[in-house]
This record gives sequence, structure tokens and C-alpha cells, in this order.
Amino acid sequence: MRIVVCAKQVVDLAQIRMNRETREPILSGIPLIIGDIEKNVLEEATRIKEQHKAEVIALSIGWPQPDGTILECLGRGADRAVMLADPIFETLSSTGVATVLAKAIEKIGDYALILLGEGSTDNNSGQVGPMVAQILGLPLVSYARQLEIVEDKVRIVKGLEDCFETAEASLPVVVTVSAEINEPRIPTILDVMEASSKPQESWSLGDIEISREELEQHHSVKVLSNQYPEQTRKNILFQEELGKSVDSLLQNLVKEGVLER
Amino acid sequence: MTKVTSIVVGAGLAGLSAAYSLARDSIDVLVVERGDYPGAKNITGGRMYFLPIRSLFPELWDEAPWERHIVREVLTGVSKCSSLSIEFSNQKYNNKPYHSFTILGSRFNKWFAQKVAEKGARVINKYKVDDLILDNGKVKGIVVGGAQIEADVVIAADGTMSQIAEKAGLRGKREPQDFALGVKEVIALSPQTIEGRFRLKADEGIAQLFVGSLTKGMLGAGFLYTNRDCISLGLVLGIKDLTDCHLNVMPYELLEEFKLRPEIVPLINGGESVEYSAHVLSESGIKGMPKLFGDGILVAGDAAGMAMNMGLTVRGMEFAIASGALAAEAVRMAKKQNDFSAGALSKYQDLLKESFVWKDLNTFRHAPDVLANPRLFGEYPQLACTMMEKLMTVGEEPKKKLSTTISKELRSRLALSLLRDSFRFWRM
Amino acid sequence: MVEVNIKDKLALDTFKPAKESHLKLNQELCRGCKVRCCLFVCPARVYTMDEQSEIHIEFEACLECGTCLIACPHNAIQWNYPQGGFGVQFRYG
Repeated sequence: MRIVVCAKQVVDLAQIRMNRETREPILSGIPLIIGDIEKNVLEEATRIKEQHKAEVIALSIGWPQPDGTILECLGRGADRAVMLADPIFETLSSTGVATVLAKAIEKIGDYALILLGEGSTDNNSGQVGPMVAQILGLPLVSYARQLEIVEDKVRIVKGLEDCFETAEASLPVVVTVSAEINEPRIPTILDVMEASSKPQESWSLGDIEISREELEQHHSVKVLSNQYPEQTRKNILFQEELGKSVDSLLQNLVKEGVLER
Repeated sequence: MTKVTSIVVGAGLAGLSAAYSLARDSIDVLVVERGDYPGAKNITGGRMYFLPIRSLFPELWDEAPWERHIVREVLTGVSKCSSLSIEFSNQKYNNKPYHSFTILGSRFNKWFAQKVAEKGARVINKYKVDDLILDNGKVKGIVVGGAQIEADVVIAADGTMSQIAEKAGLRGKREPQDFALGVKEVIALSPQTIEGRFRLKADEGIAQLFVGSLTKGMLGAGFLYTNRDCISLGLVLGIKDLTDCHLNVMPYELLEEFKLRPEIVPLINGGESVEYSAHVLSESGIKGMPKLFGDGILVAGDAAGMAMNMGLTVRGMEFAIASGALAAEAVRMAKKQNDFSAGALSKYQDLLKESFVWKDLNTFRHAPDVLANPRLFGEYPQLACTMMEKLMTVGEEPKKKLSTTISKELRSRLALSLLRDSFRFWRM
Repeated sequence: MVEVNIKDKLALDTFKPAKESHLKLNQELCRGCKVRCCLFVCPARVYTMDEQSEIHIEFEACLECGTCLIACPHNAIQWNYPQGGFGVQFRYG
């Protein structure tokens, strides 16, 4: 059984600082790392591999070249990896990403299970998984919090808002997983050392028979602004004795409409 | 079990220098770094003296991410409400090869590690070496989160608080009088603003040292270095004084007071604080060094206590780079004989003794005692400021002769100590 | 003395806290300690004292400098670096 894991390289959100004037995130110089949800995806793929005979292939597209993410995938249990790097990926919308992934998955071929995160750690649009399924004409089960392979089927428990739903689908299938599905192991240093000797392939757009012009259609989503909400603080200090201060604070909160009488 | 020839613990200056040298000689080397990226746990004051290490990796230095080369040195004595600065500039400092550079540890080591990887070394981030594999006191490898990796030799380059040197039995307990705490803030300003405020051209920088009332009588000093697009501003405080002193001030409060001094405010005005950091540094020089080698192990850089305050110059980064390279040289020789015993690795110490590292540390071996003098941080800067005030101020009263003013100040009880201390400083 | 909110200073840094503390205290030794210099030497104010005079560690804010270990007169601190990939991550250094 062949499992394809799609992994996204994201900026390290913990390192992001905000520009006080423009209220925009400062992205330059921020390390690129594998997304958090991808760790769950790889953990699940590895778990399946431990129970069934399976080969796990990591697939990542991005710019700059997602080699750190690929190494991390290999360290976390993938057997081999395919990477596509092109500046065009930097501005690609979800449909474009799904198109590229689907083409690459087709080229990898012979897949039984395609695993993705329910949404990326940075944009979290949650669209890419369903779109890949659509393009490949495969069934989709999303938000998996439990996954089991039963003969040639997957049985999945989905977390819905107020209930769980158990779904079954025949392989091949696309599954998007949520973070509740498992607790990812931290790979040992030996896993990381071994990772660099596992096979890696680097493909170009030509390798997956997709043209730049075709992809350019997918620059459809324009980001108009990306700012944090303006925070205005009144900085009122109540310095009377405690009882009085509390009263004044309450009065002010009521006046501001934060509390109601 | 996985086996490599050499393991370097820590991707700081010493470790990366060792790894670069080893990889350049095609010796199998694995660097294990506990930070998210090389430099993530490094803190520099800021300045590296370039000339002693220039010949080590000549191919690297032209593209190194230097912040600014220092063209001006300022020494400032401060009292509560006045300050006296001595400024030294030298045309030679404007010419290549530059005398010294400011660097920022995280930026620099990220770049350096990339160069090390390009030479063929493996650099693994986010893993901490928890222990050593020991066999009858011989170091046989490392333990990382339960996984073991064997090696012919381990180079401990894990910084001032080196746990690896301790685990190998090469160093004992650290004493408060031998260490200082450095606290630092990085303040972002545009390169143009920095150049305007400090009267610098592009790429030029200054280094400024402050002594006096800012440390409230504690052994210590303030420092300011200009980087490309930010300023490093900080304090170094002797840990013994910090623990003894019942001043009840926190290090960050002292730093904040320093920032609010009238000498500093106009320099950092409008700047944005972008990082706050702290680390201990070794202050005891050669006397505080651990044993530098053992069976299957070498210790380099700050882990080996190779840092020192020499009064007017604060040294460490060039010691780290040189000692890393010399450790690598010793490993290369040991590998030739296939002998990694303490005897074979003792060559490292021989190489060090022939180098500027040992010679400088040895020449200035008395510096810690001379500098651990409270008068240097309290009374003398005060005296200098008071004297200048009397010389410079014209008040309502008729002004006294210069000689009267000076001799009156010097006739105070301080005169004898000043004479004695000057002599000690002179001999240092 | 100026007042400084250390939390504001620490907010400038990136912290990736581990689940478990890398610093541990031998509370018995701490109870007998008169100096308690950990409370004022730490540049991140990791050590605080509660009303029962018990010392608490807020390891998440640790700058990993080592001052507390060197300063503690009773060797009451079991000092370690955090697990790899955790703790403070400096961007400038």
C-alpha cells in the first residue's frame, strides 16, 4: 500500500513579530519550518505503516525550496520524498496548489491513501485536501480524528461540531486529519541522521506536465490587507484605596459598555 | 550502533570553527545543536577582534555577515549626574583588514553553519546532548534523548555553562566570583539613523564602554555596540556582587536605568527594543579554565573558559574561533595515528600554548584580580567627574587655580589607593 | 529606582516552552536559605516567593543564562538546559 503525505512548509509562527506602524507581520528572516498539523499527518502515516505493509511518500511544494520540511518528513517516518520548488508557488492560491499536488500525486502513481492536514498552520483555508480529491476523482473524508484501515477500506471517525461521525470509504481515498488524531512522536536524532540518506527527488513543473501559464490562472486570490486589529488602551490607573478603586473601575466598565448594570 | 569520527556539541563560534576545519580536512563530523537553528542560543556582547583569526579561514571572511567595523572606541566614566568620555579614533581602523567588527550571534552563526554544511559536515538542530557514553572515564560518544551515537572524539563547545565538560569530569563547580552576568537589549534603528547619531559612514561602527555609578558600585560595566540596523546595549555585572549586594535591584532594572541615562537616551530615541537576552560569562581567565582534554574529548571556546575582560578590551569570540580550529587540528593529528587517548589529544593544549589564545590569557592572568576592585567602578569614575566639574564650572565665587583644584581632589584619602591601583593596572 | 515590567521585556523574545521544567529546586534547602538571591539575580525573574515563603519557578520565561546556578549558595538548583528545540530562541543574539 502506498501512502502519499502532502506537507506544507510554513513560517515559524512563534518567531513572527508585528510592525507597530503598519500592523503587518514582519516575515523577512523568519525560519521556515514544517507545519504543526503535518506532524500529525506523518505520525498517522507512520502508525499505519507499522500495522500494515505500506510505503510512505512525502510530497512538498514551496518556495524557497522546502528542503527542511522534506528532511523533517523523512525523519518522521516517510520512506522517500518528492519536492517541487518554484517561485510561482509563493503566490499560488489553494486551487493552484491543489492542481500541482494532484499532478504530482498522479505521477507518483499507485496510491492507496492520500493524507493531508485539515488546514495549513498558516493560511488554514482547509480547501486543498478537498480540491485534490476532486481533481483526482477520489472520495474524500475530512477532519479525521481516528483512522483505521480495514481490508481495502478506511474507517474514519470525524469530529463534527457537536458529534462524531463514523465514515467508511474504499481505497484509494483522500483523508484530511485534525490534530486530535494522535500525539506526534519526536523523532530521535538517529531518525534525523538517517533521513538525509533516504531517497529524495526534485521535480520541476515540466516533470508534472503543467505549464506556467496554466498556473498563472490560479493567482486569483489577492490579499488586500493582512493586519492585526488596532488596539487602543485607555491606560486609566485607579490609585485610590482598594474599595474605592474597585468601585471606580466598575463604574468605568459600565460606562464603556463592557459591563451591564 | 551509529558511529562517526567526531562529534561537536554546540553550533556556536567554537563548535562551528572546529566543524568547518574538520570538514575541510574531509574528517567525518556531526554537529549537534540544541537551538532551533545555529545561533538561537547564542548571545554576543558584540565585538570580534579580527586580526588574530584572519588567517584561519581567509576564504570565508569576505562574505561573512559582519555588522560594522569599529572605527571609534569610547570609554565613559559616569557618576550620578555627569560623565567623562575618552574617545579614540584611528585612521588605520578605516583600512582593510579591519581591526574589529561587531556581530550578532544568531545572524552570524546561522551563516557560519551554512558554510560548515557546504563543506560536508552534518549540522543537526533541535537536539540536546544529554550525556556522554563513558567507559572507564573514556569518552566514547554521546547520548541524545536516549539514542546513542559513538564517536572517536567529542569536542565540547557547549558554551560557558558547558555540561559536557562537567560530565567528562573536566570541570568542577563554578564560583560566583569567577563569573559575570551579561544582560542586553537590542534596539532597532535604521542604518541611516545610526550613522547620523554616531557620526559614522556606511559599515562603520563604534564600541563604547561605561564604568561608574551605573552598576551601583558592583563590579561591572555597561556597553554599547552599533550593529547594521540596531544597537546592542547592555550591562555586565559580577555575580558575586550581585548576590552579596543587598541593593535589592534586579539586573533588568539596572539596565533600564542605564537606558534612561542622559548619555544614552538621545542615542536610542525612537528605536524599538526587539530583543532582551542574558547570559553568564567567564571572568576568571586562565585560572578558571577546566582541563582541556581527556580520553576522547576536547573542550573549546567559552566551554573552556576562554573569555576575558582585559580592562579596555573584552575578549572571547576570537578565542572561540581559534580554539575550535586548534581542537580540529589536534583531532586531525590524532586520527592520523588512530589514537584518541588523552595523551594524543594533549597536542591540543600544546597548540593552544603556541597560539595567541593562551599567550593573551596568560599575559592578562592577573587582570581579574586587578579589575575586581570596587574603586574602579565607584570612586574613580566619580573622582574623574568631580574633578572635571570643578575645572569646567564657573560659579559665583572666583575660580581657583587649576593646580589647587587638582591637588585638592587628589589629596583626598583616595590618592594613595589611586597611585597603588594605577601601578597594578599598569602591570596588568 | 525605575519600575520595569519584566514581562514586557520578555515579550520581545521567542519562547517555545517545553512541557516539563528544566529547572528544579530542592525546596528543603530553600526553606533553610536566608539569602534567597535567586529572587533578585535572575534577569528574567523566573524565581518568585509566595506568601508561605515558598519559592516558585516560572521556567517558561527562562533565558538559560546560568546565573541562578552559580549564585545559589546551597546548590539547591538542579539546573539543566531545556530539551532540544525548546526554550528561548534568539533572533539577534
